[in-house]
Amino acid sequence: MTIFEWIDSRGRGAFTEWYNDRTVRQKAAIDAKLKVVRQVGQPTDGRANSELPPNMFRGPVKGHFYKFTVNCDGALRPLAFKGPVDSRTEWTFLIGAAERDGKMVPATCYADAEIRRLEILADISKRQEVPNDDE
Amino acid sequence: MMTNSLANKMANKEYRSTFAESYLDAAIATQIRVLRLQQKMSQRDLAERAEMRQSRISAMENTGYSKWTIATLKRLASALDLRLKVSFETFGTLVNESNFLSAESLERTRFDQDPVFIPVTLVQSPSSVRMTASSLETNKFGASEVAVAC
Repeated sequence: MTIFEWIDSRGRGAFTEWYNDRTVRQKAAIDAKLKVVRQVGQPTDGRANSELPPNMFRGPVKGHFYKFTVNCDGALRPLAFKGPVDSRTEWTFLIGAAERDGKMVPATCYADAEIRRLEILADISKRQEVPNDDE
Repeated sequence: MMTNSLANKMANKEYRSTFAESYLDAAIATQIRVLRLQQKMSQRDLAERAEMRQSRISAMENTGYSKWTIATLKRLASALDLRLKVSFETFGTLVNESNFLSAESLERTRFDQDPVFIPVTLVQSPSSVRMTASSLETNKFGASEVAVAC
């Protein structure tokens, strides 16, 4: 599985920028989960509850979005969507976010994510691969 | 020798401890699902065998689950007809282990399909040669050798 992220006009990755602002513990938890996604990430084979790794990306919510779920000193929930080039082998992060008291923070994250998703659909160069520690 | 940034990050004790814990949670949840699918079981099937509620299997097949107990894992191992192995390891092995992680690497053979315990009958003319588990020996490299007696 390959992990991508939306980039702004200055070439800065939304996920990477968000990641860099996290604590050491949160970065470690995120790195571990991303490692498992990259290594064993598989879409469902049609059987119920067959996607791997299980429940790492929860959704879809609000149409296209999945919450990447990391619980470490808070409920970290950056938003991603499948694809768009190959929905079986790609996740693309759109925005960093968290969940507090059942509400997403920032409150505009879904609206902002949709704008970014449409930008990528119109121009695939609006995304880049998320840096991989192993490379 | 490791030169990647993961190795650099591991120099921080807080980082490596949290990474290991988070990776363990994700790997256990993933392996339970892989094994259940390998044995063509639904969550309900596994729940019945482990004498648990299906909702509990669902909760444990979640990479965010972290309330594991040895007792629960032993029950799951028994339900899957496998054994549970727990050991303390170095962080170096975690880097290697995570690099080779795959769905296939998490699959395990059930007891009734484990080649160590399957009697193999070879028919040779004029007499038959029978290999059993007791005729399988393990060499110093851990590989099995087959001893055939006529």
